[in-house]
Amino acid sequence: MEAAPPRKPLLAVENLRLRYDQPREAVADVSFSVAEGSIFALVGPNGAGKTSILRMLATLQPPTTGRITLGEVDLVREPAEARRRMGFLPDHFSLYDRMTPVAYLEFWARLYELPTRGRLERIHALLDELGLTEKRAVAIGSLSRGMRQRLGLGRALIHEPKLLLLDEPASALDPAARERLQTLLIAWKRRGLAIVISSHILPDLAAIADAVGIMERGKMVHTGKLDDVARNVNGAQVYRIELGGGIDRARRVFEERVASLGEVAEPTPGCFELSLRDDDAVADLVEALVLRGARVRAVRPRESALEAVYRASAVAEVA
Amino acid sequence: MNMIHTALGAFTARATGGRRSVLLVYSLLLALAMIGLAALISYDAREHNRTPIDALPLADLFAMIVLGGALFVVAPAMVAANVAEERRHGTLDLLRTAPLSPTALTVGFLAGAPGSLYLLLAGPLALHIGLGLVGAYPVSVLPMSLVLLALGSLVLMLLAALGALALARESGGGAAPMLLAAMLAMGGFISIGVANAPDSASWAFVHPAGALAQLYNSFEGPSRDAALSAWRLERMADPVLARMLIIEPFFATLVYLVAGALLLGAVRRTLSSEPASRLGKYQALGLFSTALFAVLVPMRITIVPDAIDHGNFGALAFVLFAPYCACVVGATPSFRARAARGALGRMSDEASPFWVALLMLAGFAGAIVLAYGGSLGEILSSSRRAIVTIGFGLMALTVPVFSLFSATRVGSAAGRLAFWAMIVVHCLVLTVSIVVVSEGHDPHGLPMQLARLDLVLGLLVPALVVWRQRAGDRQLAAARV
Repeated sequence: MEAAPPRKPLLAVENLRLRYDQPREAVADVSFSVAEGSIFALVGPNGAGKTSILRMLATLQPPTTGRITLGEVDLVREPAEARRRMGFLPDHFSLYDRMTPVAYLEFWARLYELPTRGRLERIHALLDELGLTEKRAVAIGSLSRGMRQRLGLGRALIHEPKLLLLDEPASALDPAARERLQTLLIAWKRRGLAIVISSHILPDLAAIADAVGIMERGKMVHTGKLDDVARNVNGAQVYRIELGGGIDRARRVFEERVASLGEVAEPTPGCFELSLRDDDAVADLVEALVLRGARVRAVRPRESALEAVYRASAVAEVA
Repeated sequence: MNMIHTALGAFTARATGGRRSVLLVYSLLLALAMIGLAALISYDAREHNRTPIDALPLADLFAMIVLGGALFVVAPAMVAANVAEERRHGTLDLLRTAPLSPTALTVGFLAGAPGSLYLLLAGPLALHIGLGLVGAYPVSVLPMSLVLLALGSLVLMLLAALGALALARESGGGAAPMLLAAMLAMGGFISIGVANAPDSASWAFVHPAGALAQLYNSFEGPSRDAALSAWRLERMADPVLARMLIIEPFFATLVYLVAGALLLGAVRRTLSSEPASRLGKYQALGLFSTALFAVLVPMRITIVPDAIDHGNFGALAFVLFAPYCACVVGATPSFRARAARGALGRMSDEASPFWVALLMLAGFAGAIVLAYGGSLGEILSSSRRAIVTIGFGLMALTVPVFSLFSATRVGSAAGRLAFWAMIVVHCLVLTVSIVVVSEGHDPHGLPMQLARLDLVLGLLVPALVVWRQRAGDRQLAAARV
């Protein structure tokens, strides 16, 4: 079977730098690319430079130096053309509370020069996809936070962009709304939309991201496909192993392997938590436990690969 | 052009929604009410054997009052309120991600924010045009009145937008537009007063309402009858003044065009990337040149420069307070220190304003010498006339000095405090001197001394700006180390 051809990069960021008025750079020599139909996760603590990068990508802030291209369009030289091809949803945003969702989207459809014919159909289809059809004629001010978030997404997608930029889109959403957002993002990704998303909620990102960029103090300390980054960072994932019997034997196994496994926690009797580097290490350990007579009931990762990578890079940065 | 068309369509549709027909009906009713009121007053005058009043010119005057009030006061306040609200809620950033040029976005705000007001004004505007065409007033006045209404409103709306963009994001509430409306209304009333006084009429253009009043004073009609006393009417008959009244609207148009272009540039610049300074140094220089030209040229063409009415001097100073205060707001810089970007040239935002300040001072001195002849020393040493001229010039200078201030990034908190203290003192001294000067005529008395103090303070402004920038430079250099 032939391997799938590599997807064409849609967004290319090269040596991006941004300096505000402080001596330190807000963004320092950042480069990455995002392919069509993929999700790129920007991860990092507050003040790491994620929002600054997104604002530069959204053409709200010109970079001090560096180059950003979206397809063939240079974002600094042709901002208006680039804006036609992208949608942006900032962290804190407002809607026009007195308008209805339909009027709101129509205003934006006009700004994006959507042809009159088919404009309303597009708006209704989008509202339907976002689950807002029933609320199409009420004042936006009466919508819940989750609905407002979806309407904001609708605004960013009204002109069918190729790139969607999302800054902390799930920060104030409840679990059900977050799950719904994930489903939507996966569906849009499958349709070929490239998405750059920054978020603190790592488990959500891990479930949907194809590539990751880890930011620290304006620098992108790691970037690439999640698996590659995980390999490079050498970030072991924390697993939870639950035993149904042979607990003492298992403890002995852990003691014998303390040099390779490191510290093993036992939050409750028969339940162990430890870091393992990859699937082979998990298989080896399970085999050893079974051979020594321990009854393994479950082995689950306690954190996602992304969380492990982020934790490892944060530790490295502090060190 | 296409982007502007898009912005116009989207913003006006958002502003008026489905209420267009209703607003147009109200507008028609408003125009009919004006005609009815004018007819009633005319009938009443005839019935009671008073001086006859023609109903149609009176209806036109009503229309012009409504148009002027709405376009010169309410519309700019609406623009300021809209821009401030969009900024505060973060929706301005979303608008900036739309595929619109900064010019198109500016046009969108100017057309959309007062969108319903424009529809309401359709009736009075049609009435004004119609009455001009049927001869209720000289038809030659019609095009200039339309130009003054449009251009004057445009300049004031741009000033309002720039003021709203210069506010701290958190403070963009309702107070700023209300303050702006109050200032513009006050400026409008005073400039109408200036237009009605023959000695100072040549400066009436500083507010479009004054320019419009001046235009209406240039022909026989209810405006003249209502606003001018008998002796002033006599003075207005002076051929030089009469000629000036005809020339002045063209002069005003020229000033508004230049000022409008500069303000549009400043708004575009702010909308394109939210720079720390609201104006570029070239725009500051442009505003300086316009202000100096606009204040000194009428001084040369006015018929009785030696007999300048001090009361009008004071009134004019108050008129200048509107752009003065707006520039105070516009000049409010962010606290962020300048970035260490290396040498970017003298005209960059990061460069010290020293050279531009020097250029302005030299331009100011040169303009006074040109306006009066002789040497600067002679002019400064003696006559009351020169003091008054310098007073005018100083008022003209405050605008560009504030512009210059806003054209430079600022890095020193102590310098900022000193600057605000200087503004307060400057305003107090200016106000006191105007009040006192308007009551006394002794060239060696307190009024003139205060005017001289005003001069010293005015010259101190650029010096303080320079000092402030130097302090910022030192602070930034220390931070880098």
